[in-house]
Amino acid sequence: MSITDGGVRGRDFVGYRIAGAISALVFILLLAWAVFEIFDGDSFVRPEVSMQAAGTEGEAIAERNQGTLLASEVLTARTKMLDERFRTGPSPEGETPELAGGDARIVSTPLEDGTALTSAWAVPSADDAAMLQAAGRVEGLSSLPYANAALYERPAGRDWRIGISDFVTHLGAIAILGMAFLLSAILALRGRVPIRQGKSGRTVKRFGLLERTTHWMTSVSFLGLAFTGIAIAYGETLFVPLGERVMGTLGWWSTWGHVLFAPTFFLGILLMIVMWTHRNLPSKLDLNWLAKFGGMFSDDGDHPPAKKFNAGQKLIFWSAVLGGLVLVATGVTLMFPYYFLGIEGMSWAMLIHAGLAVLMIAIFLGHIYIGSIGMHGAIDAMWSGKVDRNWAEEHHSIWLDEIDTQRSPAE
Amino acid sequence: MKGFLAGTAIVALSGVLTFFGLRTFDQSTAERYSDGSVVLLDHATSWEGTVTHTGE
Repeated sequence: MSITDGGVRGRDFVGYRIAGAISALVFILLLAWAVFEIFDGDSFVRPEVSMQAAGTEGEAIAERNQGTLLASEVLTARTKMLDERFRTGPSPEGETPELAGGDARIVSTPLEDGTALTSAWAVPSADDAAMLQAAGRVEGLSSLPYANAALYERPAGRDWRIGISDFVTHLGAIAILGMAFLLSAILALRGRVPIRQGKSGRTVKRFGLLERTTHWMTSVSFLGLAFTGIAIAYGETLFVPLGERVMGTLGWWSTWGHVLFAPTFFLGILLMIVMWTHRNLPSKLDLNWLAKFGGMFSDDGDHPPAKKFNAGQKLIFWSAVLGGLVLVATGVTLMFPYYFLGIEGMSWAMLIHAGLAVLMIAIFLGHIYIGSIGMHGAIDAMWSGKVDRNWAEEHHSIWLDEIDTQRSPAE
Repeated sequence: MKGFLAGTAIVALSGVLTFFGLRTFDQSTAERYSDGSVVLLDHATSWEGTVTHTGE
């Protein structure tokens, strides 16, 4: 790194910039894939077989019984039988439900394109929607063998499914990959934010052990929650191609892990509120800092002055605190189903939880980037607790002055 | 480094405690029979009209 022409410059970090360029290329390809996935109709339910009632010999039922035995009646009987079996287990006394029209069985034939059959349900026209939601209630019989799956057939369940699978997950993927691409591109084009004067070799204490422990406890918990949450939300896309056993095992441990990381995440948020809120209240300095974007994009001129936390760090703090509390609140209602909320409330809690979570992951990618590779010398603040004086002077000039004034009477 | 190790250790300890804590108070919602079929406990069927959840 040269210290010619007025100090170290971001573009001098050549190795970092090459790595940034390669990452940017990878992420833009992933981003293109995520955009493609939006328009790929895979998330629609598409029936693959059609079912008809038939006599025990397979003859068409209409001929034998003048069409009085409808396929739906057979399906209903079959569903009751299967559901009964789900509830009570195999029993020699179990009775096969009787059919109004006598013996019959279901014959299934492959259906070439069943999209039309479910399109009214997936994307209802005004008339269909009115019929589905007549008088504010839905009545009917689900023919799905697993009774709880009937939840997805309700209009509210359908809206929830569209919200989760077609909205939150797609936009989440674009937010996360988009942020990763943006940060890689910044690293490639701008390089690291340098310490313009280089490291002085003299340090100043920035964070104590309690502060650092709290930070890492919260961040390790957040990473654990993020990875397990991504496995839960995107498992079908990411892990099913590796095999159903992989998905089964990962899914099992992800649901467990998502609960296990939660208590320390919550504890960390509470401790951070106690330790850092008074230093993160907004001030006039923040407007100036935000107007110049912290001097992040230019190596010319000074960085805007800041106290212990600049406006960017304050935004990160409030994202963590407010976002974290909402995530904890919604998460707890989902950890204890039906205890705090009913099915409708839990649907909303899950949508809010998932939507906010993907947003938080995108935001904290930015925090992780600027705290590590994005800015020379920044990681020391949370690793050793001591930062280089030149770093402090360039990024937190007012705070450094405060520290020096406090020290000088004692010296 | 000390802060990172301490923080990670607390997360690991809390994870283990939470795991065994939840296992202790776990109430099964389903049972599996030897033939592989599963019985769901306290689940209403789709045709029983109002679906109620008592939490019991």
